[in-house]
Amino acid sequence: MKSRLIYLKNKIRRYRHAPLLAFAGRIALFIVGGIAIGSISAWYMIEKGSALTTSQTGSWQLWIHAGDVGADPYTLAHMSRDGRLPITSSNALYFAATHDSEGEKIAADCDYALAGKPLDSDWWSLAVYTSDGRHIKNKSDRSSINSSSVLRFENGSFTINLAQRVRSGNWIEITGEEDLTLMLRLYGIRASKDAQRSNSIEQNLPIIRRLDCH
Amino acid sequence: MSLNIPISQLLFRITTLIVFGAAVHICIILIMPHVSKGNAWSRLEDSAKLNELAFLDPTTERPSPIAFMAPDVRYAICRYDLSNGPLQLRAPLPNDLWSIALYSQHGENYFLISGRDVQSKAVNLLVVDDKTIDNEKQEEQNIGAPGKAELREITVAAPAKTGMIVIRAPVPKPAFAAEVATLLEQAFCRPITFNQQASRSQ
Repeated sequence: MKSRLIYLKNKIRRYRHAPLLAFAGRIALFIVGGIAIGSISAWYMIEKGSALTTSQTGSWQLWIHAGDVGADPYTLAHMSRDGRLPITSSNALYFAATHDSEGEKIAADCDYALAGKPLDSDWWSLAVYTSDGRHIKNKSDRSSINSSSVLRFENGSFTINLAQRVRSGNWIEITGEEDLTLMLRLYGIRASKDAQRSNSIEQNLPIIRRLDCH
Repeated sequence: MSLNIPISQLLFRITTLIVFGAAVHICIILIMPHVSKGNAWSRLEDSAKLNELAFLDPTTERPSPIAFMAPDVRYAICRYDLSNGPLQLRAPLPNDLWSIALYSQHGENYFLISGRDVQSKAVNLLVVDDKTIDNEKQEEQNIGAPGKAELREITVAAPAKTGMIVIRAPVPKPAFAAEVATLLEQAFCRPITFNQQASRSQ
């Protein structure tokens, strides 16, 4: 009889706390949901950017205000997370590509041909990195080509080959099997506020064509 | 499972959730540059001592202290702290492509000068705390001494006591790498002592 009474007592007590537990559960769900929404959206805006912070031309993405004083918080967060120190966008532009012209990820086990036109800047350099910005291991020490060293056709256009094996002409050696990031930096952009000049740079960015995969 | 709550209450809950999510989003974005251990200031702690110039070769540094360093550029980086007084940076600027960029601790490039801007073989930067400099005086010093001088003196007011200076020396072709590195090693970064400050003011 006594144990039956204790059982009933406990049941009532549990029942009394049920609304409180339900409320606490809803609050916990609310907090977890809010943190998840905030974190995922923040990650996306920092990692991928948006039309407010980046411009996309073909495969190439540009963080519009990289390095600027008073840059938007997303750009500052992106550069901080990556550990980059870009020159202000009024003087230099940094275009990054992780996908080829067909939208496929740029991979170290494939060969690529980059077809470019003259780029209106004092100096430019194209380099290959791992996806987190590390310099790739390279036997031939050829992981970049710049405007001083590139071999051009008569009309100023050029083709750069990215391949694991030696290619004639402009060749950047890629090794390994991981995904790659290409970075094209242009120094000496004196008139980036001039729409025509800025457009001409973006129109002349190299087209990244995938050739063969191993 | 059915939701046994009125539509108005459901909308209120969704709106509140979105507002809370937006607050979390804003906090993360604003805090990230200040707490990120992956930012350039933190990454450079091991390879660049305070108020000293560190010479970095992206082709040999593994892992690179800064992400996406250009393999065909040689870098010299000075993390500075102006708590104990101004900082002097002297660097050659042998051609138009060399540049000196000053950054806040969070990576904002607040001052930039290239070889084309100064038309002198070298530049001497005096970096002072923004609060200790007379802005008019700064402009006078910046405008003065035009032409192809051997050395150009420039005073820069830093927005905060801590920041970074990056000297970029592009290597046009691999054959010039050693020459560029040798030239870059002429640069130095050091705090100005009390005696040096006194002699400058005389």
